[in-house]
Amino acid sequence: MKCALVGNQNSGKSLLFNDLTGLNQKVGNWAGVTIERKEGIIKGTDIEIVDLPGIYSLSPYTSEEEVSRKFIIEEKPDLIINIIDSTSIERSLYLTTQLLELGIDVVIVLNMEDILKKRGYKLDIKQLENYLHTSCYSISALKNTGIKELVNAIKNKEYKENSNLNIFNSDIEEYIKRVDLCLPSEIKERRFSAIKLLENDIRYNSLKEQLKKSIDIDNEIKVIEKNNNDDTEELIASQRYKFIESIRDSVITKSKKKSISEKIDKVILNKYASIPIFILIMIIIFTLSVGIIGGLTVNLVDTFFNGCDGSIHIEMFGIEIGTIPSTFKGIGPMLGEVISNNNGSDWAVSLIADGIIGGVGAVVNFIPQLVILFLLLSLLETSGYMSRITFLFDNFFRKIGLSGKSLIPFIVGIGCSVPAIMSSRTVEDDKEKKMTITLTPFIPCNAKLPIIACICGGFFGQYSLLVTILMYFFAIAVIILVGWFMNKFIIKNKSTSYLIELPEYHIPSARYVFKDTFEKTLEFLKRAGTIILLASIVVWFLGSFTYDFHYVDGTNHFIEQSFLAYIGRGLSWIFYPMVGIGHNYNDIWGISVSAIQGLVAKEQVISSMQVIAKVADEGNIFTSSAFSYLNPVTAFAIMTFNLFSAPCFGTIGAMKKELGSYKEMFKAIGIETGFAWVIASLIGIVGGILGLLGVF
Amino acid sequence: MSLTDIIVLVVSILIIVLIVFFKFIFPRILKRIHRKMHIKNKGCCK
Repeated sequence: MKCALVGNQNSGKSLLFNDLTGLNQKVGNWAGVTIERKEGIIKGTDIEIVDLPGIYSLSPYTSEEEVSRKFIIEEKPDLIINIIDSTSIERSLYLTTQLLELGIDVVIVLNMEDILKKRGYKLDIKQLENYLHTSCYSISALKNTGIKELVNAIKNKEYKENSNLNIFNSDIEEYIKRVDLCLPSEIKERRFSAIKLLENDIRYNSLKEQLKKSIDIDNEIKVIEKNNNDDTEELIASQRYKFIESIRDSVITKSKKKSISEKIDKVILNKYASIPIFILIMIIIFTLSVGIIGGLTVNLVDTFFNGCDGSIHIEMFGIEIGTIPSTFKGIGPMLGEVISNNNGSDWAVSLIADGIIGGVGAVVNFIPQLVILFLLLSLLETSGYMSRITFLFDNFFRKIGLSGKSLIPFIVGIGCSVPAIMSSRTVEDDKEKKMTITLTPFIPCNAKLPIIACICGGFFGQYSLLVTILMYFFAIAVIILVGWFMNKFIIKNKSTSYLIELPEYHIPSARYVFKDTFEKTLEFLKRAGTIILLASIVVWFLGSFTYDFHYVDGTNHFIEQSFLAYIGRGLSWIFYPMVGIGHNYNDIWGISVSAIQGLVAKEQVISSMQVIAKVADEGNIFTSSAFSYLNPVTAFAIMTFNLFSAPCFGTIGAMKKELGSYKEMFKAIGIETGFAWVIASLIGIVGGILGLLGVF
Repeated sequence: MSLTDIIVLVVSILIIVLIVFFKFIFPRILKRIHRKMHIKNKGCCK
């Protein structure tokens, strides 16, 4: 048996899917979390269930709505589980009336009835069943209540069979019957097809042609329109709403009590307070993750990998708040010692200590602050605040050719650009979607956080947290600038209007927040253990051997003679305006090599710089002679280029998929890299001139 | 080259080979198998 889980966006489909199957599909309190169909088996049964992207009707407007419609019509499930948000039953029932026309059995699941009750409303389920001639079940997908009863009903087929509900006036019903009688016998969804033909749906044009011998649909439409003095599509829609309104008035008893969400929105969406509240929330998120947790833990984790000089320095907001005496040598140096004591060569010691442990450790240092960042972003997603932000910025975003919905990919992008680009499917307009996809990689993702945290910590001392937060605002400024440029000269978009759905606020489910945080952290660790490890070994090899395969020992052979230095010098011209003013062209190869590494994974920029610094003179990025040309301004320029230039290959792949062609993908990457180069070069030139003037 | 050097070298090469295989080659093979199975299943349904 195959079931389809169908419902409006943000009605709780994914949450119910997870409850039914025990799987852990991404959930969020904003419309459009599910963008592709997901399949699973209902726990304790052999019933297959497919979670489909949210739709409002069976006349799709967006690509994910098309996925749902295609599945329901073409793959014909045995049962449709239609999940309805009890708090907005009027909107949800439009789709329900269409589903009931398909001839497939439909079970109605009323989610969030508890919230409806809290608002002071009462829903009469028995009466709803009588109206729709189908079975209704009340559940709370979030609290996992009512699920057992639902599963038992599906398993034992205790639900009512579809009785092809008639909801239109006798005149329309007569025409539907006439068309139905002429339909070929192989069409199973007869009532639905008849209505679609009368609605003049373009997807049914071939069927219309096929039927021409038995019935002239265009003529039938003309007669209906003449009799009713209205367009048939509008006539059918208005009668649907009339039926829905009559249901709503009968099954829901209202009271005049204001809901908690409405009370919260009065403050959060206040004309003057909304933007400061948003900025405050973002500052709290970064202060907690980067400033407090990051500061407290980064040296502790670093000591584990690389050891310390007798004490671990504990910092907060870039200021040292204490030291912990420690004689721990660190995993890297300890392994190096073991190899050295067993007649291991210098290169073997360096490969383990500098290449593998040093490279991976440079990225893993940031895990604690990333855990907090993931946790807070997950809270933001599941609470319902995300949709409010969309609403808040809609007006402003329209001015640069974007949609308020573009903000969802931007905020998801703080975590990772790949799901962020995929979530751009919720943006209906094609041009707005293209712009959103091009601009999303400008948001510093978790992989870019090590670049920001490391460079800010090393060059901006007590101002590191401030600069870190400023980088996110700088990213917003770049998005606005590039968005304006694209809108004016490349895409020339006229913004469209759309409906924003403001869901109820929920107290986030601890189970999902922790699962989500755990999965994102695990994904980051997996990257550190695979791609970063692989790239670190490759960088170590290229930086540790000369072109005639002599080991770079720092006495006879130097890093300047290495493979890496030759590759880097070939590309130094790109980075010369950023860091080169006042320096030798041949010295800046380390930066170009690291930036190229960023295409594999952005964390690799820092990892690669660390390996180069260690191979050069056992130093770190801030003390090594390999990066002596970096000062606060040139480091800022390099950080800017790495943050805003072409994203990692994973993101580029997602961009290709969503933009639909290599041409569009290269265009987007070209815009990103071009702007990154211009902005970073301007910063670098100013820094270089200041350096020549003796400011640094 | 000492025995320790050889062990370090072999382990490092093994790491590279395993990562390349499981990260890049194996998922592609799996994808191809899935696609073939999908086509086969669809054929059965018809």
